[in-house]
Amino acid sequence: MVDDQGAVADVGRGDRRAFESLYHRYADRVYRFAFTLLRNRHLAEEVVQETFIAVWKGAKGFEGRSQVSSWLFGIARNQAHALLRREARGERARELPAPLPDPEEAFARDQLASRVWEALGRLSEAHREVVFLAYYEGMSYQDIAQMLSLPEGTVKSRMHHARRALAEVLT
Amino acid sequence: MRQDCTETRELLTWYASGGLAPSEQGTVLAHLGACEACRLELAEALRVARAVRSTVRQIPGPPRRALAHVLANTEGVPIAEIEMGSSLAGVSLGMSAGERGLPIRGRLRLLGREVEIFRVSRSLSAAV
Repeated sequence: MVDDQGAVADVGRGDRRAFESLYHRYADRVYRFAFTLLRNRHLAEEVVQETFIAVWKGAKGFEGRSQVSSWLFGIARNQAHALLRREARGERARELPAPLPDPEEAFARDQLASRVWEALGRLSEAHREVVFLAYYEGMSYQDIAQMLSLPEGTVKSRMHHARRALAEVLT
Repeated sequence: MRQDCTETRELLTWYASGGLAPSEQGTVLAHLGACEACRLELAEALRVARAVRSTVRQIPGPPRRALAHVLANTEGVPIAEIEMGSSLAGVSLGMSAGERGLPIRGRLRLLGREVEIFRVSRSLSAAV
């Protein structure tokens, strides 16, 4: 199987199969990231769509200086913020998409997950993204700092604060 | 709390999630060997890491229509889409028109996963 860097290079040359393969590799992760940040399934779906459209258009310019995952999550984060800005300005038409299973329903059957999800909701979006990238994606604090354009110390202190808050619901 | 405890505790998240460079892992490990309070913090960091991973893993992926939307917006405007089967298994045939041509693709769907079984790309110039 072609690695991520090779897949993005192929996408940059207009390879549709590579593009779909990249989608299948990352769509779930991008959706989970967006849903953790925005806590809204329809917005999260839009983030996935806009992210991959941006990947198709921008793959040619990917120079491989960062990991593909960092590049993709960086795009997803920008798309999430752009969506929120459009929402705040009232520019985004409210759509009524077909019903979807609510991801939060899954948590209702799992008490621990439900408590963790609630605790994540009490954190700021800035803290939630660090938690996701560190714990779920396993990214180093250096990579997170680079992706978010933050000092490494800020990433570490956000994570420390978030961990304390999350630990409280586990005791 | 000692200065090296403060520094270690800031790194415990990444120690727990495997995101530390080997040299930093060694420093944290050496400190943990001598500090019971930080070992307790590590146990907490591991509990939080497990709980967050297990919670996030329960978020399903995007619905199938998200891929259809992406393909339509990168490949061109869908001209025709024929679907047969059920939500569990089926096949679909789609044709689009975009700047790169008139691709026709066939897809097989099985238990929530989709694979492309064929694709025919025809350039616009050849179609005219």
